[in-house]
Amino acid sequence: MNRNRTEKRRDPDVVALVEAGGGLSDARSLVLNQARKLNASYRRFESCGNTTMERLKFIASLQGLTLAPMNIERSQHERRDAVIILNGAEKGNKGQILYNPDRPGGRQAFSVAHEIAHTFFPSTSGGARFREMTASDSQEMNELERLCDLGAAEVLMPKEEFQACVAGNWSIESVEYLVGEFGSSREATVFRLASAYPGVAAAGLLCFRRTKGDQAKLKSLLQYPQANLFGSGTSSQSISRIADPKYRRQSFHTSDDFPTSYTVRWNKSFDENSIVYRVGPNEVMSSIEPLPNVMESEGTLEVMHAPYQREDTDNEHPDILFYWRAA
Amino acid sequence: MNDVMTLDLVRLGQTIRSLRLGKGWSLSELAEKCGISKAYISDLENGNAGKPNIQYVYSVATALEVTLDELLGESKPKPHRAERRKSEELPPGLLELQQELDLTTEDVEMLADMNFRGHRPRDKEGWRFLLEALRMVSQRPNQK
Repeated sequence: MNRNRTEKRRDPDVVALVEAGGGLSDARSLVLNQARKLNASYRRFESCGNTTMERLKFIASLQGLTLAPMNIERSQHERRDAVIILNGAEKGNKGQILYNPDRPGGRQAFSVAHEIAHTFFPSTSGGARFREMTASDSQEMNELERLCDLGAAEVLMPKEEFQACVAGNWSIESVEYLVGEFGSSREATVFRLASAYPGVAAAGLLCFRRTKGDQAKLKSLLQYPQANLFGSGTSSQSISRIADPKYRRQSFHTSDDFPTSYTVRWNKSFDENSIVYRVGPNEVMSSIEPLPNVMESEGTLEVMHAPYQREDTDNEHPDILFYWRAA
Repeated sequence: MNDVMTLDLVRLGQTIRSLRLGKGWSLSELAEKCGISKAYISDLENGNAGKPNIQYVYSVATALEVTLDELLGESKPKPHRAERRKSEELPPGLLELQQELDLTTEDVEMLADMNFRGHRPRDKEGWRFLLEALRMVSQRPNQK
């Protein structure tokens, strides 16, 4: 019964992928296999000296896609980083990926790789999909988008090559070097430090905010203060029951060995003594801390300001990237 | 995970030659259009290019208006129309339907490539049925 409920919530593209894989493999493994196959297909050619975008252009073509910048006039008002327009063909020229050339290079590259990953799903054969890099604070990204991010990370930063480049220096301090090597965004590279880590590690984005429930309550109190006159308490009592904003988990990326029980659930806040509240701009802070829900297991926590801030981010509390690995 | 994939150079060469001839181009004309030497294209067509440079192969694909996926023969490239008319007759009944309904070449090409559960129509009425079914499907609003 529960299984059916879970399946009903799954994205139809994800269900189609699992079914096409015979139902024996999980979606994550299937996406990674497709990404690795595509990289292996690319490696059949001599390819020295190609830039990241050139490499993506060739990989897209190997997947039956063409790649082009969006119309410049349009892209200035364009919120989307990339869009894929598919023509329904299963083989051959499947469609086109348009990317926003006004975005920073790393962001363009990751967005294009994300769109390529959409074609790993067999039912993605028509219509258009798009990607915005900046995390929505309204809800967690859905399963399909997270799987496409996983596929994009593997296409752009193949695990074995990434591990070789890191050369044991598993730290946010390596990010600049890795961005230079793989041409991905800083944010995606931090997340890759977790997903490619040969042990227990996690990374993600933290936003300074209330829980969704408290945000809704506060909004209601501010909009309709008179409604509270008939309630059980005064406005000030109701407001006092609303928790202050804290740094809460937004996105979450883990290594293969990361135990499910360690997962920091969406909305979970970091302790107010954590370095996530103290890190300044252009710096990386590091300390030995547990993850919020795994107090018994300490690890190395590194934090920095996220390179892309949402438009409505609090200036005093910018979005934070964190990277944690078990001691 | 089979990470070592091989490139079928003979097949790649055959596909390039087939698409080039389909466009009625000489080696020199293709070389000029893609900015690559005639000798390299000749090597590609003859399967003698070793581990080919992806930039060059991509330029050839772009000039021939196909993706690398199609050029590698890992998908089925559609034969050029001129070549199809020369080398392959249309299935029985389709030409008659084209003449009767004044179908475009694109429609005829699309129908000629279709199978229904592994079978193709064998006469004009069969093709008419398939065409009408396709038109009905394409006019139907998207359903979730």
